Amino acid sequence: MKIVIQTAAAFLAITAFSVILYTSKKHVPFCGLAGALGWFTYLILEPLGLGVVLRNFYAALAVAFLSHLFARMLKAPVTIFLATGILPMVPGAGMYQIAYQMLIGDYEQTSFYLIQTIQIAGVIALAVLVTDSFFRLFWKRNKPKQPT
Amino acid sequence: MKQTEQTSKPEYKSTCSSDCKKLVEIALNIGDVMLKHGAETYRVEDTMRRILSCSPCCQTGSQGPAGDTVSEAGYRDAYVTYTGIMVTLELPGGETITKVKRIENGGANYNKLYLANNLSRKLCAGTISLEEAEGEIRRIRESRIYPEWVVGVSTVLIAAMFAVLFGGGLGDCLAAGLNGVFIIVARQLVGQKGRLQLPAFIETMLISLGMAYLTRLLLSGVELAGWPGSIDQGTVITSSIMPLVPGVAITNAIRDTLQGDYMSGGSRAMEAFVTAAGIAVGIGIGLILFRIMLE
Repeated sequence: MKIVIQTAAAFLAITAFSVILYTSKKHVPFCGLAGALGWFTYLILEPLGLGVVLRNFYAALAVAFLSHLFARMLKAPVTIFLATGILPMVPGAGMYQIAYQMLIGDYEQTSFYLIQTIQIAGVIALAVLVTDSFFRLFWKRNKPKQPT
Repeated sequence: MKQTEQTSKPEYKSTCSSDCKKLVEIALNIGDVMLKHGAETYRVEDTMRRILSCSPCCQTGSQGPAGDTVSEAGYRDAYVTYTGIMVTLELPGGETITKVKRIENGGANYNKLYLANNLSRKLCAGTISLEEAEGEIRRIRESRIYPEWVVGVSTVLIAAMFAVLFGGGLGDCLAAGLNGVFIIVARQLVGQKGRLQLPAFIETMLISLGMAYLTRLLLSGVELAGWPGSIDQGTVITSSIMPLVPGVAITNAIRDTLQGDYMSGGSRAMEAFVTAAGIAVGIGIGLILFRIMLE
């Protein structure tokens, strides 16, 4: 139940975010889908006992993969879906924790969250890299004339 | 036969060079729209190069109207950074057109990006003439897709929904939504499109400062009033900053860097970092201010 509610929230949140980035109406639901799938992946991996960083990696991987598919389906730049779909993974909580822990003077926690935030940013970059390379290597069918 | 060839050649060259000038202008404008509204640097470069190469008259070994092969297609290239575009095209006569344009970041607008990208495809497929393309660019620049109130409602919805996404309850959701309203009002006041036109860093900092302060105030108020549910400060603030988080800059920084575009990747990473720092500093100061006020 928790997973259903949070995935629905992710869909609405990312749909709303694509609107403030002025995404074209026909792309808006696809942005929401990418974001919802990413957060769904993050949530279903929780019981498996994976760490936060690794779960972020798989979630970003799912979002990036779906974004590339949508971009090729709709002949639109992949950034449109990627930048919005990846938002739930962007370490906003990390930024808050860094500021808050520093404020209350807990430097151990500060450096913990700092390192975690850097790691999460790193694995998101890695996921994007992996998917980009994958599609460049294996997407031969209907080869696009322009980068997507 | 020879006579006609000689007379038609200069005429052909003159229309070609005016076409080429238009082409450079179009490439520059399409690049401008794309870069301004959130495209990656390498995509802009690639699109501009394609546009420069797709005109029939300026191409290597293309056929002139008299059946002669135009020799020596000119050198052409586009160089794009995060803040500027340079484009150059050598005409068949040996003359070179080079244009430089400084680009101010206009904020992400994926509809314009999509339309400009589509226009470049149409141009290269030959389904649209240069004149039509010029008109199309003008239309893209002026296009508006969502009215202000839709954007406002979306901002509130983002904050509220992210609270649910991060595992918050109804109380967190409402508090974050309230913060979303605060963001809209504050943007009108201190934002770059608002009255004071402060720099982006200060804008982000002030908004998150106000938000953190407001959240603490709300939490104390709720505590005094005896609200039965629980509101978590961390969840509320984390979800309220989501509309401010530099998602576009982060994604484009990653993709530009991976593409080998280190200069643009670095600039965008810097932009993302400055915004993130603005948010963190703002939250910190907001919480401190509240604590000082209590003492």
